[in-house]
Amino acid sequence: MTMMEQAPRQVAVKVSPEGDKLITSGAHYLRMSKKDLVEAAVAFYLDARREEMQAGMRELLSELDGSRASRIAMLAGMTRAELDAVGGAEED
Amino acid sequence: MAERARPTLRCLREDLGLAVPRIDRPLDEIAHPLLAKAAERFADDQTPQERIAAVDDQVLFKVKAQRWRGAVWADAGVAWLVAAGRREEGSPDDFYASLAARGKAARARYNAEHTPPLSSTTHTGDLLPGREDELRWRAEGAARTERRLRAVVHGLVRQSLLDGREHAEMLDGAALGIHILADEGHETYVAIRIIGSVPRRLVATILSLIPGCQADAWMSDYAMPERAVAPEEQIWSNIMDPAAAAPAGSMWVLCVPGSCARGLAVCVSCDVYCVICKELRRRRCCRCCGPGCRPRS
Repeated sequence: MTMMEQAPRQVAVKVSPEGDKLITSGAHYLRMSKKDLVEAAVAFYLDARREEMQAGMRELLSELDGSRASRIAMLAGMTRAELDAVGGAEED
Repeated sequence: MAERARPTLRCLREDLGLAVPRIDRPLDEIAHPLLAKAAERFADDQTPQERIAAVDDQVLFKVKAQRWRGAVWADAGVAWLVAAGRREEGSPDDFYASLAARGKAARARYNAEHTPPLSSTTHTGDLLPGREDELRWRAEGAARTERRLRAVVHGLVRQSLLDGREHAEMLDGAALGIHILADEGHETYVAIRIIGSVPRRLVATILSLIPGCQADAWMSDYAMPERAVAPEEQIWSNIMDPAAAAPAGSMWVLCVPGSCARGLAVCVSCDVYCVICKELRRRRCCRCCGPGCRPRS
């Protein structure tokens, strides 16, 4: 018995007319299909944003020194000086 | 209905003469007869309150306990004790007369400096909760969140270290999952997944609570071990030092180095598990950890 292989499912993505023009001209210029261009562009964009997101997270993490007070100040959105001024936190 | 009664920081320090406690002790839990009375009187909307008639710019209510007299400002479920003092002998309402006089003096100062002038006879706005009270309120909430986060994160780390599977828990509408892979002969890999809208500061705090990980080595990933990323899911991964991770649970002990044939072993209480030696997991007492176990210093 032979089994028919199912083609991977594809989905439609709605874009604005301006976006479609950009994709069409970009695909023509780069000699790619519109589908391949969109997939490559999304992967590229996400990678770029991932760097940005990681950098932002590293910056936030650098504000934490392992103390409970620094974590509480981070969660409350205040500085350590502000936290200390209203009572300060007990370390475990 | 006021769910709680708490003093402003100014009232606590200056009027009640008490030191500001650490934020782990909420101000509405301070033991003081005036605060206890305020909490009791404002617990029910139906309880009739006596307004301080001599103060007309704010609605302040009287609260009395023993010789203590206070002014309460009710706002969004909180009865704020904004001023307090002791009744003097022979002068039953001395505190309220002083409060009104203070309010009139403050109004005169305000009107001398501002246009248009206040039409009320008193100005007591400076007694109401201000920025430092708001900071204290936020800090108390953050302290509760931190304590809960720490317990949840360390619990999930411990569970995943023991069975090598992903463990998850709901945290205020968001799902937090932790998966630690401590494969023999390889580095220990930790993946954190969070589903839901979570502030970045909360994410940073969660990551900082994972023991044994370098803060600057967290990576944003597109997949968890053995599965792809789910919708609205963010994934962070890092390499964990299991020896440094051991103190995550206070009951953890570390075996004498070298007593485990495969390397480091981490145990939990009297149930002894080895992170590295997979085949020894879930045994009550493994040969690498038994009598050699000692508290991690």
